[in-house]
Amino acid sequence: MARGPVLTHITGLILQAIDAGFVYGFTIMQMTGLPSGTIYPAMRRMEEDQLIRSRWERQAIADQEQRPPRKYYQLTATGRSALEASRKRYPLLARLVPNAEAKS
Amino acid sequence: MMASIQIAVRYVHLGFLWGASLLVPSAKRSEWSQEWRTELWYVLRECFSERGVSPRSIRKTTTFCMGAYRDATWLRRRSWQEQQLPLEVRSSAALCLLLLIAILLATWRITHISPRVAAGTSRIEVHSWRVSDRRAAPCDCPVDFIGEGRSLPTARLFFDGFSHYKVAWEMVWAEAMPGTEWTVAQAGSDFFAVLHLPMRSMERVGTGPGAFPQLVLSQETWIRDFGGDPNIGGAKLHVGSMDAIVAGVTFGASMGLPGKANAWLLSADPQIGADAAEFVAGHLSPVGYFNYGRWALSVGGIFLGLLLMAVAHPSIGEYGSGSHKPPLRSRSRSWAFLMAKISLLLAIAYFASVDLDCSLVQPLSQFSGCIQAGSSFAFCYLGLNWAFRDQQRRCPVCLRRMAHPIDVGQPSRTFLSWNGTELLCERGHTLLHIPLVRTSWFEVQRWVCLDQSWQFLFAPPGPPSTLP
Repeated sequence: MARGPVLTHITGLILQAIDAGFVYGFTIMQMTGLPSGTIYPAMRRMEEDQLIRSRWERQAIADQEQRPPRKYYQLTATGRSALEASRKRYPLLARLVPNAEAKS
Repeated sequence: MMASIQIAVRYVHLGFLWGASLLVPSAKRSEWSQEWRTELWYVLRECFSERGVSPRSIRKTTTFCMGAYRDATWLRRRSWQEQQLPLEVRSSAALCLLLLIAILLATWRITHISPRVAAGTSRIEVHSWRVSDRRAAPCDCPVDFIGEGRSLPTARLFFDGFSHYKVAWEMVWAEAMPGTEWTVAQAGSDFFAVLHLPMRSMERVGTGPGAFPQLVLSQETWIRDFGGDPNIGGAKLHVGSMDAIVAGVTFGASMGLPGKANAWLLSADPQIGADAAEFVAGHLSPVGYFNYGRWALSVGGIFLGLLLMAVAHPSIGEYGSGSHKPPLRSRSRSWAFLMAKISLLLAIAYFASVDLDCSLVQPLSQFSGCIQAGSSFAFCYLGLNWAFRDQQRRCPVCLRRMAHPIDVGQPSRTFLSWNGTELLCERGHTLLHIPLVRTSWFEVQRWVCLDQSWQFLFAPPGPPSTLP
């Protein structure tokens, strides 16, 4: 039997953070309050499970803003349905992670 | 000042990230490093903008970088998992036997390239050491060999000839040759024969009583002082207070002997002064390590290991009362596999003990035999233990390793321990129950053979069937 994605609390939290607009590692780490050693391996596993996908920001945009290019993460269709499932399992998730625009 | 501290902190943490990147598989290292360096830029900006350079901000940044090690370790472990063979191959009996054969070949090969063991080969080594001043000379053997009587019998196992020589500076001259100071080694007349050293004789020289001592020139001296003259044989030279006849030229291994002699004066009666440096050289026997009964030490250790295992009486499990046994053919195959493993392991124990003995101690050590016997016992005992434990976890039908362990029982009723563990054959032949809490009615592991009615659970996925 093929192994499906495991919906742990951390997975739900990261999915919620990305969905809320915190789309690169540092902001996800800040928002969830989880240490880097937990966040990055979890995101790699989620990427393997095709819950999220990543892309590098164009160098020109980063140069314009005088910072290094970011690696952005976004939810896939599977990730979106996994987020819905984790919201049902962990109802407080939505309250834990506010929307990025609302926060800024 | 603050800016320079910030730069220093940044470089230190970049160093941490570089260290972590070494753990990442090389294919992913570049992108991994870029991502973490980017994130570090944001972490540093955040920390320094909030508090400037403070111990707390540095600690926060360091904690962030330590996470990189965890991430890198995760990636490395993942890479290993991807490179692993599929479970079907990993658990197969053939792979187990192949690995054992490979180990056996490796230990056998190491044994046979060891110079002490090289039976019947033409490899010859000469060991030498100082006797007069008891200092460690360039030598592979213990310097106290002569002084310690107990080592002598052991030494005779490895060496088939000994000779002794002295080295001193002597003035050498002849009628047609000005006086030159040479390093002259004086040895017995059978020195080259005993040590199997190469020597090119130039002319038949008299050896009877009253004949002059023979002088064997080193190849280097022969070329340097005599221009490589092939007719030098028979020429008379004055060596110190003696006269000697040039009998030949030596080359090869003798050039490497301590003392670096220009010439070898072969005479039964030592004439060189008492203060000359002395050496004893032994010729390593080319007939081999095992020809002196050394094999019996390993065999003895292996026999003890087998005896201990027989006393321990290991079990590979029983069959449940309600379960049928696998067919005789399968059970015979299972026993044949166990016997094959044991045979290979005994051979490995034998060769590995010889390898260990050769690599750990000097050939003349009195501990040599103990190490060989002890290690063969240990290898045999540990190997047999492994063989039985491995057999206990192999399906008696297909000989594959059992998989999918689960704990069974109710811990609250058994002093917080599980009743046992159950494993399942990947192909659905058998179920294995290993008791963790032993009882009088359930002491050893028990096999349950699954009948055909279970096979639908283990059938490979095929095309969806259509209902009639």
